Amino acid sequence: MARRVNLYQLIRQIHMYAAFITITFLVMYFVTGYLMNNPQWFDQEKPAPEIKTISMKKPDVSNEELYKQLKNKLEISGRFHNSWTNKGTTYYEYQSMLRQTIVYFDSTHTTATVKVSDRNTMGSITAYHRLHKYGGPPAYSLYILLMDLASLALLIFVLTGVYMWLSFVKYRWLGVGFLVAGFAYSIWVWLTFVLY
Amino acid sequence: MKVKNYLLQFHIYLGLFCTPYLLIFALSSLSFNHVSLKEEFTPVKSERIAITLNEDSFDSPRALGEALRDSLHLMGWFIPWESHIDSASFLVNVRNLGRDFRMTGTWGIPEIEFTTNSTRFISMLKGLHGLHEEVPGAPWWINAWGLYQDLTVYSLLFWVLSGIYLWWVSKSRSKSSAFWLIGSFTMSVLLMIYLWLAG
Repeated sequence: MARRVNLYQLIRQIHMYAAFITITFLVMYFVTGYLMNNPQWFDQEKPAPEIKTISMKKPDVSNEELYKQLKNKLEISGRFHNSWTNKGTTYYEYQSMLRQTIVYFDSTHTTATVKVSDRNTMGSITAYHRLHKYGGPPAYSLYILLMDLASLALLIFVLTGVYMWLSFVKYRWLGVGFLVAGFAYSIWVWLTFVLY
Repeated sequence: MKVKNYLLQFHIYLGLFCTPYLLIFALSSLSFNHVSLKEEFTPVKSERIAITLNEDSFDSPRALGEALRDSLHLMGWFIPWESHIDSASFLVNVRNLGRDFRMTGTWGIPEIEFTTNSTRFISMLKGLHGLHEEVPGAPWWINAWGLYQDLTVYSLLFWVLSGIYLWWVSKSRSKSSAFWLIGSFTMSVLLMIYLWLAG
């Protein structure tokens, strides 16, 4: 019995500390999730992008190295996000919380066009939710690491929460009902997409 | 004492009901950082379907794609960058979280080649993570997913506030737990401000 009580206390402590370490990220998910789910209630207007053309020879280097060179020359903020090719032109996208920058070179690789789009307030706030993948300045990697920890903490909440409910509540049928209802609905939705 | 009990009950039962979405949210969030976003499909079946189409009735790939989707009772979004029409033939693509439908045909021939592909398991997870808009052609329980998602989002705030309250009134509240709460909150907020200002 003593071992069972101790295990319950241990699980309770894990549940609590996992929550405390990632509590800011849970609040961030609430705020950004609310904004993303209800965009019609907030300002949708985006500032017009600023486009400039500069004379610059494209160096034949990796995306990360190109970012370092462009960052110094063009004062780009944030980090490299993506690159893609369309009709022979390669586009390089850089993102920070406040703006998105797209750089592309002409066919002779001697002129760079830089398009800087400032995010509106809603775009900047939801960028905290949409940030993903490691890379770039250390602060970004630290943030992604904390996001990963928050995701792991959510898994821990679920598992420890279910364990504590099983240990703590004597009359379990109501809880079983809620748990089964949630799973049944989710599986129903999943199967609909697979079989419809 | 009564408030604590009510809060605890609500904290538990809301958590149990939202458990599946929390699992989907946590696993898909991890996958966003560690798994390629590139879409991959696995063929499921291919068949020819008899259908008569009048070229003059469709002025764009979207009009044709949406008409085919509705007449074949498919569920999903028309994908413009995977579709095209020319004077001889057409290809239209309709996709949902679990299935990718491709319909090709030649004008004047009263049948189409209908191919069904399945998406990756991880794509389904990622799709359910962010599915909040209405899916064209979907039954009501698919479109109700947004409500389930909303409930979980609102619950996040409730779990945080009720969790802090339950810790605050707990007899076993310790200084080290307060240190972790305040320390992690301060560090995370400072990091977010730093990214905003200097990122």
